[in-house]
Amino acid sequence: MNIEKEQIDDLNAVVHISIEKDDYEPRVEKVLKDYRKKVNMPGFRPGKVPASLVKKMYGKAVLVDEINKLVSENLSQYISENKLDILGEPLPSEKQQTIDFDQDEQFKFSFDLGLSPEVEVKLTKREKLPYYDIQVSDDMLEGQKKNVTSRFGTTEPREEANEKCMLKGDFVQLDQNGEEIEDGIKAEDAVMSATIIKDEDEKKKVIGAKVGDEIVIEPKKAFPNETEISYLLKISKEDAAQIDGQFKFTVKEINEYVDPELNQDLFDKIFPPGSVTNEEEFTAQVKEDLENALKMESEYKFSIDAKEKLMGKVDIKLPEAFLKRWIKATNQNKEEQDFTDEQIENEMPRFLEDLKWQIIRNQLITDNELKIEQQDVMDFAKKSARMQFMQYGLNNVPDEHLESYAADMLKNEDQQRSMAEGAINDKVMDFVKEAVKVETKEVSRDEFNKLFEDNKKK
Amino acid sequence: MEVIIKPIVTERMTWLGDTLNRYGFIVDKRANKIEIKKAVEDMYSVSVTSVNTIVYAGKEKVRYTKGGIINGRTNSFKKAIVTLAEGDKIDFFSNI
Repeated sequence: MNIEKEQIDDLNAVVHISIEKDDYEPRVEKVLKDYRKKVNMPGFRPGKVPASLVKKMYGKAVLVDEINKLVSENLSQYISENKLDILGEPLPSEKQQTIDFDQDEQFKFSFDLGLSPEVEVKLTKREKLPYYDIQVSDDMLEGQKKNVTSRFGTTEPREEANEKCMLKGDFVQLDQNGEEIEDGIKAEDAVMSATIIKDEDEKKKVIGAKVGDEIVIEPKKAFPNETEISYLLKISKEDAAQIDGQFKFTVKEINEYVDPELNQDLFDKIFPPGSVTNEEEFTAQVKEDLENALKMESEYKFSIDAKEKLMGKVDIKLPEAFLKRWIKATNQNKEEQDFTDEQIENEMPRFLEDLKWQIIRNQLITDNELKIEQQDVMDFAKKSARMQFMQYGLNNVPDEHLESYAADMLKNEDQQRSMAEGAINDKVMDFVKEAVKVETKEVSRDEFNKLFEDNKKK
Repeated sequence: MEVIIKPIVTERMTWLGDTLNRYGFIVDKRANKIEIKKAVEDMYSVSVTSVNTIVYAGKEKVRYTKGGIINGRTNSFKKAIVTLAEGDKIDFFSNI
């Protein structure tokens, strides 16, 4: 057995492995012996099949198998022993001679390796990174408060309609003389509101209407949008475009949406019971939640900025040709998913960016001995679980509930990997924040959103 | 007419070959001992000292099915046990 490395350039190397008969012979023999005990053949009792027969039948397959194993074992051992930092996986070299398993007794394999470039990531206090602290404006706070409470609002019946009321009633189509058309369009229990009526004259007809009133309106004038007509009259959009003339609307019910009263009952519904007792506390709590949510966005922006900064700072060269081959090779086996060269060409820049970031990150991790532990992963899982619940509007999920949910998530191996990934990302970001000078800038929400748009334009 | 149809590869035949230098073949039923001797000598380039033949009758087979009883026979065949001269050997497994 002989392994040697041939360095082509900084990023590419070829490893030659030559295997002698002595290396594989005993292993093949051993496997064949095992086979002999198990093989079942007519004319022979189990275990009594002559060795030569077994060898003839399975010898070649076993030989190929064993050599394969031997090669991959030695290759990975060689890589780990020499601490080669490789990208992707070793690929059979293009210069590989064909192997004749029938004749040859000595085999020679060559593998191409893509080597990870040496990078040095140094962070000093001289580097500056902006951290955008989004300010909570009064408008935002009001809006959020409304948002939080709106789910607990009630609708109350009203005698007379005002602008905000929802009117429920039946539509009947009228002819030119104002008589009902018998087989015209009829819609029962349609709900409309004065706010969606565009025409002022039509709007006036609705405002002030009482239960039992009959209003004549012209849908075409009142609702220039076909979608609204089709929804109100329960007809298709194409039909709605054709609608002309007047309709009679018989008011059956008038409801108004009322904001809920800010009282202990409501506080207990929104937040864990007992934690909020008066309006100031409620406002403070809403503000805190909002700030937390915004903080996550700030962190996100910071991580993007930091990534950009680091990538810009460190120039990394990658063995592109090798990586292209590798991507193609790894994707080939998947069913029917043919990766064309063109696709790879398109994906390449993004893939390279990702890879670069990974290299930088790994370098940061090894240089600074960042470590994650089970607890970190758990914390991150809890954090993302909380975020998931918040998306559904559940802000006050109890801790033990979160914990069990997070533990559930971690049972899935894929999830666990992504959680670990996230946790280590957080760690790296924390480290970056420590290492560089962070400039905190206070911005409003709009300014912050604009930053993102600017980024996209780039 | 192909004289040799196939060699018999079983535990017993292997033992026979190891101890008495005898090898078994399924042969065409019409072939006689002289033809068999020649065929084996040509095919494996060995010298044959004696040939013993056995004709096996086909077995009567009865199958009871839903549609009635099906009667039939398996084919009859001739086995030849060939003794080789001392020093000669046939290895069925080495060549393909």
